[in-house]
Amino acid sequence: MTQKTISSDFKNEIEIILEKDDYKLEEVVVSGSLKQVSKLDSPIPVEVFTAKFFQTNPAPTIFESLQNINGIRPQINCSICNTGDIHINGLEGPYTMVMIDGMPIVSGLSTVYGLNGIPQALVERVEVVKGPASTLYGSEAVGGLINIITKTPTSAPRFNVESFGTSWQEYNLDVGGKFKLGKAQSLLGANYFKYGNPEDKNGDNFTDVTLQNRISIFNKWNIDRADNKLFSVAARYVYEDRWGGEMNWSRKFRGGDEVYGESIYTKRWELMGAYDLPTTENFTFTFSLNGHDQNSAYGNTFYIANQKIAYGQLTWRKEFGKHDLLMGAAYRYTYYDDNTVATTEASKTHLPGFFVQDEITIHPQHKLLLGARYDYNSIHGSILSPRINYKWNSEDRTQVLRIGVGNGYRVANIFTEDHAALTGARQVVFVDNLKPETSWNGNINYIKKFYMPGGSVFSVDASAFYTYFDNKIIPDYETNVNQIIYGNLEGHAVSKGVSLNIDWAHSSGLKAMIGSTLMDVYSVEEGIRQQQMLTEKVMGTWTIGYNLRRHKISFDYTGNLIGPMKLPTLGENDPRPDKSKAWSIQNIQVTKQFNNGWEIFGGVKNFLNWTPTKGGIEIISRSHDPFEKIDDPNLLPFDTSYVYGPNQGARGFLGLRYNLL
Amino acid sequence: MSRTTLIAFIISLCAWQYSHAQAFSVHINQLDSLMLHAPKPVLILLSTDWCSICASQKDILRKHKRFHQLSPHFYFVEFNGESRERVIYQGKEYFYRPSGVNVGSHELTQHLNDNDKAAYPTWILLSPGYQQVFKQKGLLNVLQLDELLTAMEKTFVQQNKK
Repeated sequence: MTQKTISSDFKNEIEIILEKDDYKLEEVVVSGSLKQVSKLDSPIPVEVFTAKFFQTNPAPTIFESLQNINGIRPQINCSICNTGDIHINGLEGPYTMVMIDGMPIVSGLSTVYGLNGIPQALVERVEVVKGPASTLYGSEAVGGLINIITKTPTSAPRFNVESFGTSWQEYNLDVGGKFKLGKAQSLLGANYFKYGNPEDKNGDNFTDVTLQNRISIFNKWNIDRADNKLFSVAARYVYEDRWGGEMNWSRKFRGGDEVYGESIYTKRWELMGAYDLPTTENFTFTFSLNGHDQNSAYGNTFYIANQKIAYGQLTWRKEFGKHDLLMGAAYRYTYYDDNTVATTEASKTHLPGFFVQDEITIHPQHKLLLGARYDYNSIHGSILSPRINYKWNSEDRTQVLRIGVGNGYRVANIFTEDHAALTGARQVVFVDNLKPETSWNGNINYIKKFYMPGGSVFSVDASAFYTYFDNKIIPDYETNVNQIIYGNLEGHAVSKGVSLNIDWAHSSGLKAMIGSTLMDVYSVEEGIRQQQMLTEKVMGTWTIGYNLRRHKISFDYTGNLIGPMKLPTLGENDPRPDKSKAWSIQNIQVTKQFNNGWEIFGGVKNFLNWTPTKGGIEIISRSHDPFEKIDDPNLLPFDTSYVYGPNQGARGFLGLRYNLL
Repeated sequence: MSRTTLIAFIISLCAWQYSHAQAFSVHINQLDSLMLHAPKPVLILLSTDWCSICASQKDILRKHKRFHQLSPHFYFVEFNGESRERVIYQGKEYFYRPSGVNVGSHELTQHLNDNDKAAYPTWILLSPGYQQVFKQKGLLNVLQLDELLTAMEKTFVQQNKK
């Protein structure tokens, strides 16, 4: 760096400017790592992923992007309609809560839709809590919490557009921007995704990937108040039309028994907000309203469901001395109706709850969080869930240790959550009255960071988790191949494991994030131990990037490796293996940045061309006779639930991004 | 690894701590009165509590001897870009603007960035007359920090002596 003295006439000011040989400086600037520090002060481990991380493998939804986070696996549950959920440390989707800027989307019918439609350019970061998040959100957040933080009016681009297409003829368009209206600032975004080209590469006469047409609109308002308190409202609307099935299916066959197809129309709206009451005390009211309308035909079976949820929560925060006290009351109302025989009349559940938590700063290096929550469910009765968290950090803040123990519960609704109940020709059977699931969880998390004089950061993040479930609701596919039997587990289930993440941001422009999780998820019933279906014992993820700053070109290599899983087969006569082999999806990308706000990116997704049909495995049983018209008792039932990974092979992609700052 | 060795391992890691350097930064709200009585250049580091590069930057500062040696010649301000505090800077009030539950940014961050897109960490050097003379979005390593200090020394310290 050189410095220059500019003696300007009017002020005699000095200016330090960068000259030509300053490229050295440019080279070592680390503008941000992929994974940021977990919030240091929080006694609960929060992992933070920046927008940059999600750009290393661009995807139309955040749902897909999550595949590169250690411990999280987006799971596809149906090989024809490709609906999915998010598994966090082996726990299924309905256990995960999704929020936007801390405003909850209390979702029920589908968590996955909560991750659609926010243009990447408006996402500042995504915060992930694995394991029971807090007493604040009760049953919704037993498995974890995903909080999408949108950009602030300062950091959001004035206008942005991002578009990409793949060699499978998938097209994605994101448009976003911000504007001001009087005292209010607004973020507006829209996403359109289309995949309209049926492909059958494995030759089973069924579409490999579900055809989709999806539009979502997101709008958020921040209203400036004279007292600088919070008033924020956001709304989102998603419309989606998807179908998969036999290659010659068209809309006229919908619901009929001539050509098999699964067609789902989804309309979903959400309104959520947060408002600080204009009192001297800190009262915050958060609310969430949503409606989910699903009209689906699985072959000739219709499933038409309507769900509405209203949720409100009032919290009071009070700091005194070493205590940071948070108290609140929440109320959740769920309306649910569908056309199935199991739902003779619409169900309306009320779930009022109270919670209190105290974050005690015992010492600048020691923090204790005590919390308890009481809920009253109109079906299940009283539910109490306490928890305790402790955090220690070293004086120089390069080490953090967190320990947490707590209780959680979940009220299950099979129809809204388990898609397997609806597909195929299996009959759904319930055992007794289902009780709410309860769980006890403990976790330990340790982080150590190493700072190099050149500005490189190396960090190690290790965790161990243990969850013990009682009354776990488990679908039984095996007792009778023509039925799916739901019941409370007599006995218990355990999910335990360890995970390790290594993060490296080198000043040369090399960034690497490598993680691995070992876990054991099983149930014990009458002394017999069984591994959980569709759950791997080992997984790994990596994101490795290199940035040639001088040329503004970056390379990204991302991937995951998923160990063998037990798969739901239909008994001894099923030719499909009952265990998957380890599989891996790997992607590469090159991005070139221009000075005028444009960026061009392209690469290959799944370049190993892995699909679950690899090795000639037919993932759909009886695919030649989906309506089971052939009268042969030796034939297996038609079954689409045998799927464990995306059935989409290698594809190239190319895209453009423009940001007007 | 057995359980006891694991526990022993964790304990030994926890015990392994660095020595702690003295606090040397000035609180942003003190700046106005300090500048009134003794104008000096102001070096501001904008950061957040979730930014790992900022943590790395602070670590470099803690260990940078020359930075500590020269610190009497300037005011060093560490400012959390998402601080909830009410700030008075150059006689004007700046507030935290929430944009969600536990999310938001500070008006001063916006002001110091000239309404440009905020990035963390950001270095800003102001002359004793509050004129911005240097801005750096991103980390300064040990050598760059040295260069910046040399430049500051040459321009401000020596100028004062004249």
